[in-house]
Amino acid sequence: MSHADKVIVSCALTGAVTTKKQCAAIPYTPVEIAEEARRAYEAGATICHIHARTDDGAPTWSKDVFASIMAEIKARCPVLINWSTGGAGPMKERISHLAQRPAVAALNMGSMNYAKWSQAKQAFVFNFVFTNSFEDITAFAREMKEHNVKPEMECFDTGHVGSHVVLESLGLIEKPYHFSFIMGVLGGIAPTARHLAFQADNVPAGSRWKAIGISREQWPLMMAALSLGGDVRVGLEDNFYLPDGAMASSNGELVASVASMARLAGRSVATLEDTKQILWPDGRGNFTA
Amino acid sequence: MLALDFDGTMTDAELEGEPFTRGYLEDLALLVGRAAGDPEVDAIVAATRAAIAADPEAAFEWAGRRVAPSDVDPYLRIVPIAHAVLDRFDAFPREPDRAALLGRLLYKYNYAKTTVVPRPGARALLASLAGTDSWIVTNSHTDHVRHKISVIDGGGGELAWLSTRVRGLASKFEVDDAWDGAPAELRLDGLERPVLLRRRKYHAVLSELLGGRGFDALTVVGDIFELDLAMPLALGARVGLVAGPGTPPHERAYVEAHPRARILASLDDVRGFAFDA
Repeated sequence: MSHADKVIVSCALTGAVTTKKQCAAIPYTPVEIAEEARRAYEAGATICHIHARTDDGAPTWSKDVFASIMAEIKARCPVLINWSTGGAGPMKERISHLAQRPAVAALNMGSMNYAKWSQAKQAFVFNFVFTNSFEDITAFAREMKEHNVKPEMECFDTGHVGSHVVLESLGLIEKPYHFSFIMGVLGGIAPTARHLAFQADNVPAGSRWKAIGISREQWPLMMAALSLGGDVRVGLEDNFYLPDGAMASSNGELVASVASMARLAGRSVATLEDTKQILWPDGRGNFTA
Repeated sequence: MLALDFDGTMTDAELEGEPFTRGYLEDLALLVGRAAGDPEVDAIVAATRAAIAADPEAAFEWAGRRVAPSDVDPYLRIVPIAHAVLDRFDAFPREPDRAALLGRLLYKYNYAKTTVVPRPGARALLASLAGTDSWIVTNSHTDHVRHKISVIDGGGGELAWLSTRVRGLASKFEVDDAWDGAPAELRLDGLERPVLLRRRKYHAVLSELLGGRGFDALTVVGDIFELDLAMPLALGARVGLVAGPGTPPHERAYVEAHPRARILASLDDVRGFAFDA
């Protein structure tokens, strides 16, 4: 089976704004996050995307919390760590934890309206401008390069995909490039198979890309990604619900569901070693940091 | 030897396939950016269903070949419907991507949602076949059919003997023109397109079970003439068609007229047809 047939499964464990009231399995503390990382890894995920939380669930950019999360995860399993860098907060805070040398870090690739519209209330549930200037993008990319962190280029729309040429031109990213297509955010690209295929058509040959869907629409999008040869991300940050509509009791359940889908699609779930070889063919990733 | 098809033959495919169809259409709607029950998607589904039902030539296509009637069960009927929806929304235009989505994921993922609705007499028939040279030969996955058999058995254990006699993934829909082990085609009155017979993989499954015996030692019972019965009949087997409301009239007429074929009105008739002739 070639690398193209293997599916790298990522799991977004907690997010920044989800709460235990919404889903009891949302982890807050470093130990809870690490336990969820272990469950995700045991179910087939090889990369865990992580936001840090205070113990009461508020988002934090505390280096100490990130360090504690990393230590707790490494004590439990060898899953590859992907730090978040996006969202609210001064850039200086959102960048400092990269010095801990995770294998991967998220790199938002463009600006956009970021909103949720309530049809029933005829009002926004939230509505802001998600600002990611080229100055910020390149600054994050430089920091990642300095610490040997592979950028996961997060693209919420088609223009974001094309913006990688700036990083390429500046020598800030190395092949194979690693793209994520976040779909279904109002202000960004719609979560349809046609749009996903269009996004995939726009990445440079040899790149890896994965689909990230929000809420229950995630599952058909995962099917589309698996059929189009892409990788997938699931996790409680994106969606609380299993394909049958039941609320997930852990990230591991969500990973197990998408792993099962991958096998139905005739693809195998990439092991940790597969993932390392696919994303770091030169073997120079931050695997033991 | 008796080779029995399973889905649609031992079960009521329409009833057990309802959750399959519902789930498949929900996923399809979401894939094209619409909600389940979207009026435009529903209209495409209804129009395609009507067109299939009205056209005796409508066929399920596999690898570009027309290999079975479209309207005989939910699993075949959903394919042209899915193509129509994806075409309308310009989704998955490339054939390999679409084949992977429809043929593997959407089908298998939603097949797991099917319930088990045995035809009247299924349990009694299967129990009565214990000790005979009988096999289940099915396009479905072996494990799925084993599960259905265990449900039909209801814990009684009378059907346990069948668990080692299921041959799944028989690929009855696959035509291999390069293989010359069967005539290329059969012409049925009332059907303009030919019935394609060179189904090499299905032949290989049956031949393995026959273990050197000829097809004249074989009886095949199934619910879709074109998929289950046409090739074995052409090679000398006896065939029984478990007909239903979706059975095309040209298939029924051909079977009624053939000396080695019979319409089986009930599963109660299967054992006698297979072993008492």
